Amino acid sequence: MVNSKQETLRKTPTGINGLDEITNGGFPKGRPILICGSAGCGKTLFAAQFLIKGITDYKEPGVFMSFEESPKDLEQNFESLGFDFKNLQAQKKLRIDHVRIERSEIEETGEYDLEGLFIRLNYAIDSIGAKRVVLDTIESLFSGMENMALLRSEIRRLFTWLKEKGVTTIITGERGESSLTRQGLEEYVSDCVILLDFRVIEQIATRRLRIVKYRGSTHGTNEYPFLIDEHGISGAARYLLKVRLQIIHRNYIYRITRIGSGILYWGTLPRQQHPYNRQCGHFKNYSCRSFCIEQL
Amino acid sequence: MKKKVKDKSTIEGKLVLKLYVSGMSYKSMQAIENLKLLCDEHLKDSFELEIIDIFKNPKLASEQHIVFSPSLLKKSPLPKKTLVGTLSDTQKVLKTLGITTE
Repeated sequence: MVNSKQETLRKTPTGINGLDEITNGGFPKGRPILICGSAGCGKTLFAAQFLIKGITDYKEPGVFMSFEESPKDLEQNFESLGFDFKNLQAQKKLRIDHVRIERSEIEETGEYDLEGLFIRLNYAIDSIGAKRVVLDTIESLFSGMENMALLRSEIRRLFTWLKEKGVTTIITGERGESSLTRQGLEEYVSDCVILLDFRVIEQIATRRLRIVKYRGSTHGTNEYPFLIDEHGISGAARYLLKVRLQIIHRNYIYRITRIGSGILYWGTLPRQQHPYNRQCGHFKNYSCRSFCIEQL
Repeated sequence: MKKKVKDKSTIEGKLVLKLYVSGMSYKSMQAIENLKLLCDEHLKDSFELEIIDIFKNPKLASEQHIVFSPSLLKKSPLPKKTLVGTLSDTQKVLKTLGITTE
């Protein structure tokens, strides 16, 4: 069963350097992908970069449906990272739809559905021929609503619909206490789940990414460190690294423990590659101030 | 034109309602029926109602921030309210629209 899926599973390159390597080619084409993690771990940036790269590198128009930030905020936030939302919207390659819900104005008076959302999404997708969609963060819908069961089944229907529509969709979700997302979205998005993490250990902050699940595809299983820096698009792309950990030089194995203001790398590199020089070069690009090499 | 209607209604205290439905879905039909009954019984002529099919006007759904369907928007008098669902909870509907206080 796995084999037959592997043969038919088509992939959409994310354009995020390193991520395409560890996913063996990108995200599953035309399917929903869940990106979860706690607040501030880079979910929105990840999703935005997937859209922007899709437009600029792969000619795939995209729809950004924001449940939290307004289009103006998004434009401003990502302008500093080099994403030109305004221009791409003018070119009809990107569409931002802000789903603003005023809780204080809403009263539930019986059964309802999310047809309004479906219609908006459908309109946005069709109007620019979008191939990529971001829903950031759909769980916001739940806050303040009474009928959770109904919303859940509607969201399940939405994911099925998106799949039928054939768009590759990133759904972001905030990490819950006992589950990956607050509303357990991981139960509905069964194809691909990515977990982002932002940890501070011994005063060193490190962002990490792990593929929790990728149905029908092999993938790297480690936690991979990545960087978000002020250079934005290329920065984040360039530094999402595969494995950059041990350096073998003259039969000694070294482990790089700290680089610059602090990213922790570890893992293994194939011995035969003798990557010492390349690594150094890489660090230079990375304009780090300092790093320690520890002999194992 | 929109503004004019609003001004006029505010002066007269007239209820201005917009019901957004999605095609001929069961829930949409139910909402229309419930609202009709309710208006006949409690409002007589002192209201303005427009029924809009978001299937036919998808752009409007975005402009009016419609997410849930059916959605009844009370445009006037203030405060603005959005009643989502089939409007079968009559007491809640009447209260939210300001027709009854209890």
